Parts: sequence; C-alpha cells; structure tokens
Amino acid sequence: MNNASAGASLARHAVPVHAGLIAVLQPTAYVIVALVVFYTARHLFFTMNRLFGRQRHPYLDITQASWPPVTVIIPAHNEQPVIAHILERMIAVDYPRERLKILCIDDRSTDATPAILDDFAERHPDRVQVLHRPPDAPPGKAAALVDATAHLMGDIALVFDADYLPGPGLVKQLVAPFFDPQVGGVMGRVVPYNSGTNLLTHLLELERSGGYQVDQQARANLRLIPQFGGTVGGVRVSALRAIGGWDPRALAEDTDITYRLVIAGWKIAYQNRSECYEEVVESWPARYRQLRRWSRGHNQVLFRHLWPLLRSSRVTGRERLDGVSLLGIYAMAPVLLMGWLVLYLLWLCGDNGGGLLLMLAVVSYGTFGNAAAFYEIASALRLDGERDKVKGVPLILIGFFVSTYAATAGFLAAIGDRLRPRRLQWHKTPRYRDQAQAAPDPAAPTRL
Amino acid sequence: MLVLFAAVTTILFLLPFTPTAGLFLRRRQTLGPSPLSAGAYAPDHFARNLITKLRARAALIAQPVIAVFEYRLDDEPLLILPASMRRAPSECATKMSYALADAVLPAALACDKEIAAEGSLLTGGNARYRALYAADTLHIGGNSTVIRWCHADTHLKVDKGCRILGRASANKTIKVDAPCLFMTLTAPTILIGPAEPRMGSAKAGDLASASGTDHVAREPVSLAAGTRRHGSIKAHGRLCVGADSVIEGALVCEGDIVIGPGCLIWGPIVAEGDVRIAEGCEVGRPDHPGSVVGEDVEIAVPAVIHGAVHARHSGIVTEKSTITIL
Repeated sequence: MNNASAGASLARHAVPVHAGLIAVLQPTAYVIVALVVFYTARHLFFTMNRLFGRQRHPYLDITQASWPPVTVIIPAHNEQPVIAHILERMIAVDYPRERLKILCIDDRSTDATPAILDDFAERHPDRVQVLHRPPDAPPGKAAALVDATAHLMGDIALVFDADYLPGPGLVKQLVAPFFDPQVGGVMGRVVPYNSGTNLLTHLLELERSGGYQVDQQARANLRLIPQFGGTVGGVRVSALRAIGGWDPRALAEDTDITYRLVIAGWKIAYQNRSECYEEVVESWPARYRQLRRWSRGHNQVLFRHLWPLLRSSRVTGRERLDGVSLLGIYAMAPVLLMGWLVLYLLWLCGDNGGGLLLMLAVVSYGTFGNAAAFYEIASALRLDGERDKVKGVPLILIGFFVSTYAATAGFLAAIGDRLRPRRLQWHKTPRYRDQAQAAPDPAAPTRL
Repeated sequence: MLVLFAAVTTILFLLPFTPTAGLFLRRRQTLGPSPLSAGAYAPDHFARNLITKLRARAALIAQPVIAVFEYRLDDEPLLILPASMRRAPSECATKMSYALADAVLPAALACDKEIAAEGSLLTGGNARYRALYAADTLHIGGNSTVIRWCHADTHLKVDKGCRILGRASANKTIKVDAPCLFMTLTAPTILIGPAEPRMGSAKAGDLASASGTDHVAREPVSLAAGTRRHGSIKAHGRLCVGADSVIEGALVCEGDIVIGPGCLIWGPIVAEGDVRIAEGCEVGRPDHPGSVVGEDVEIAVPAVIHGAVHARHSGIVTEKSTITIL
C-alpha cells in the first residue's frame, strides 16, 4: 500500500470517530473562509476602483473662498521634542489671520511642553491659546478634546497630533469641504516623514500609503464612509454638538465620532491631496502597543455602534455595508487565527476537502498583510510614483504576523472591557525627534 | 533528495526578497519620505518656480545685457532679451526666453518653450505657447493656444478664440473675450466679456457655518426666479437657480448646477457634474472670493467671478447662453 492510499484509508476511518466535531467545525470553516474572501474582494474592488474608476475630488478645487473662522486643536501630552515644530508650521499657514485660532491643550504634561506652549502664546497672543489641564483631569485625547470644546472659535474644528508637520495650504484644503452643508467631518492624508529610519518605519509607510491613497480614496469615490482618523482632519462643531460631543470614554475617539456622525446623517469627506507629514513609531514594542490600542478602541466602537448603524434610516445601503465591514476589520484578526485553528483540527480529523486550507492561506496573506492588502499597497505606491518602494512589499509578511497578534490582543481586551468595564491605561506614543534641532523639512520636490 | 527539496524551496521563498535586500543595502535613499504635492496646487505655482529660477540666473550675469544673450538653465538653452529690445526674435519658438522689460511676440508663433517678461508681454494672434509669464500685463492675442499655464502679476487679457488648456492666473484681473476655452482661471476679479462688477464689499458672512439656514435636499432642486436665500444649498440631483436670484451661501450639487441670468451667488459653486452660468451673473464679492468648480463649466457673457473657475474637464466662455430653466 502506498502512502496516498494509506492516508485515504486513515481519513475514511477517522470520519465516523470525529463526525460530531467535523459537523461543527466544517460550517465554521466555511463561514470564516467566506468572511476572508469577502474582505479580499473588498480590497481588490477598492484597488480596481482606484486604478480604473472615476476619481472624486469634489472639494479639491475650492481654492478661493471667503474662509470661515476655524480652530485648530493640538492636544499635547509630554510632547517636548515635537510641539514647537508643529506650532512653527501652524503659525505660518496660509489662512486669514483673524479667522484662525490655534488651541493647544497641555494635557497634564510633566516635561517642558507647558513652558513651550506658554512661550508661543506669549509671542502670538492673537493666534495661540493654551489650555492647561490639571494633573487630576481625566486622561486621554478624547477627554482633552471635551475640555477644548468650550473654547472653540467658529463652527469648524481641525485636530492635529503634536508630531505632525502641516504645510502652508493644508488648513484651507481641510476647511474647503465644509462649504458642503452635509459634510460633518473631513480627513486628510497622512505621510510618514521618517520612513527611511528602519524596516518598521518603511513598512508603516507602505501601510499608510495603501490605507490612504487607495482605501480611503476608493471609499470617497464610491460614496462610502471614509474614516476620520482623529488628526489631519476636522469636524463641524454644530454637528459634533448635535451628536453629543466627544466621548471621553472612547479609546478610538476618531472612529467613534466617524460612526456617530454617519449614523446621524452627516457625511465624511476625504481629501487625498491634503497631505501632512507625521512621525511614525520606530520600535516594534511601541508599534505593538499602538496597534493593540487601536484594535481595542476600534472594537469598542464595533460593539457600540454596529446595531445603531444597521438600524439608522439616514444611512444608505452601500454606506451600511461599508460601515459594517470597516467596523469588523480589526475583528478579522482573531477570526483569521480561529480559522487556522479550525482548519488544522479538521485536518487532524481527516477532513481536508475543498482546498479550504489553501484558500485561507492565500487570501488571508493577501488580504491582511499588515492590516492592508498587498495589491492596495502596490497600487498606492504606483499612484504615488514610488516604484522603487514596491520592492519592499514582500516584507509586509513581517508586519502581518505582528498586526494579527496585536489586533487579536486588542479584540480580547475590548471584549474584556465589555464584560467588566475598567479604567483605561494610556500609553504615551514615543517621539524620536530632537527638540534642539530645527523642525525637519522633508520638503522634497513636489509631485507635479 | 530532501536537501535538494529544502534548498529549492528556500530559494523560491527568498526570491521575492532579493530586490528588497537590494533596496535596503544599496539604495537606502529611496526609502526617504514620499514628496508631498502641497504647494503645486497654488494657481501661480509654476510661474513662481520659473521666474525665481530665471531671476537667479540673470543675477549671475556680470555685465549689462545689451544684446540677445544665450545662456543655459537646467541644461536647456535660455535666451535673455535686453530691456532695449521690445520685439522678441523668432528663436523664442525653440528656446526658453526671458525678457528683461516689455516684450512683443510675433503672430503665428509655435512656441515649445516658456516665455517670461519682467514687464508687459503682448503676444501675436494665431500662435501656440507652452507657458507665458509677465511681471506686468499679459495680453494673449486672438485664436492662440496656451498649453500649460499663463500668469500675469497684474492683468491678464485673453482675446477671443483663445484656448487656455492649463492654468491662467493674475494677481489683479483676468479679462476673457468670448468665445474662449479654458481649464482654470484664478484672479481677484475675472471679467467674462464686457462685464462690470455689481456687488459692493458686503459684510463678511460665515458661509461654511450657516447651519441654521442651510438646506440639504436628497432630490433635484429648482429655485424660482427672484429667490433670495441666506445659507448654503446642497442637492443630490440637478440644482437650478432661477433668474435674478441672490444666494448668500454656497451651492453644492452631486449633479449639474444651472444658474439663470442675472444671479448673484456668494459662492462657492461646486458641482460633481457640469456648471452652466447664464449671462449677467456674479459669483463671490470683491473682498470675499468664491470658486466655481465643475466637470464642464459654461459661462455666458457678461459675467463676473471674484476668485476662481476650475473646469475638471473643459470650460467655455460663450457669447450666447443656451440655458433654459423650466
């Protein structure tokens, strides 16, 4: 008897013994593979749309307007290495002077951040205002934004993280979509400036590129739900107040506000060409903590807003489908791990029919590599004219394992939060810049 | 056999990583930050870049320029025309040219390179230009084509029959005669045909936040003639504004926008479809500009736009409007 016939005999023998287990595992495997295939198709559809579909940039050409009053909020918790750089850039933006207020929130900082902020406020009293939060104030960016709401000027609030480096025209570009009275939130594009530091930063640049250049823009093209990312973006203050303001308990206040706005009938506009440099994390432990936090916060939003989204009468059918799939994106990591386990158990039970294992292997790798798809990233790099960087795409495999593990940990933490609400622990994202140096100026040649 | 299998498998697995290794080992500089497109969207971006380079090049010339000199700029031949020479030579057709004062270009010139003048620039008719810059007034003769961009630091005049296929901008006024094709016009005042501004400098309104009076319709919207409305309007189908209406806000539409004769729109006007503006309309105000944005944009003379007109596909200035609003 050769090996093949021996295996077949073993499988036939195994079926009656494990029939009950197979009866449970097999439908589970089909559901999991169907979910993974759905996300694969979604990524592929977005990529095709970005490469060959009609591109929507309805607000890009609003270059001349009577610009409304706007507040730029910069929350800062121990941001000594970077805070001066963003303020220097923000002071220099091209926006009517009397219509721009820069509201810096010193969020319980223990380093030199308060002194730096006060110095800027003293030098630019007409533009910069500092809000100091006491040491016993509730922690977190969302809580800081809640405190800022009472100090806003005008009906538009833009939010920037302290490590960002906005260009002169960025504020106008982000304000332009608000001339559409249906727009409740706006998101710009994030580009890492320290991408050449090491392998991780390079991988993060690839991920950002796929996520914004293809994923977000495709969703804008298809009138789905581009996501407000909490920085390089903004909200209409009247819309924010109408939905109850920032939720101080939200770990992912950006995703939370995205869904609350959409459920209330507002639209989120994505401005792909409103680009801003950011500093990405440069160490794997920091990346793990960041991803875990994002996953935990995102899944909190999933548990909180899935049902209201499905029930909302102000959301179109395509928005509802996209909203649900976007909500589930971080939950797919544990589903994927479970899929591998289920298929392994089925294999042990002698059931490996249908090529499910191979299918899951191929599509899961292609779909969830570093939380974005290979083809999305490769297409994004092509659209950006960064053809050399395509050579780095195979390395996404490394990020894939880390992100799957971190997203699963975040998912489990979110379930834990659901079962037994706990006080959130905030991990400060490390900064890598030298405060003593001038603001980095990666002013590379412009694309056009 | 097993060793061979393992070796082949390993090689096949590592093969995709080979260019990656090269990227890190030999060409690490390519991993630097991606360039941003930020400044490129300023209307005079290309003009500013060019004139900055030309002035820097001219500053390097030690002796006074009294005759046509040929230099090089970015590895391309550059003609520097002296201030005393008003009439540009026909060599401008093939070489980048920089006049140190006013310049007049001959008619029917087919010019493949940029032409810049530190004074006024008057171009002949029936010509084709790549790009034009004037530090003072720029006058483009009739039936001419500008392929990339044109900019005047004061006034830009475009005669009838011209085709402006790229950006046209001026720091004071643009005057366009009908018929004319364009892509982008940007200036504090854009006069379409024999037009004069009607609106004074009214008090600034907060257009982007007039939420109390904004109107969002999930269907087509048609406003009656003589409508006066404070606040912005968003429509999901066609948006029609009747004659002599005044809209103190923005018009945003996922379809076409049609503006009847004699309307005053504070702007901006943003359509994902086409925009058609009938005769006698005014968009924006002298001290509070507006933008007109659409796939195809048609503007009938006379009209005034304070700000910018962007046609994503093509724009046309017509002598007679074909607009009918039911």
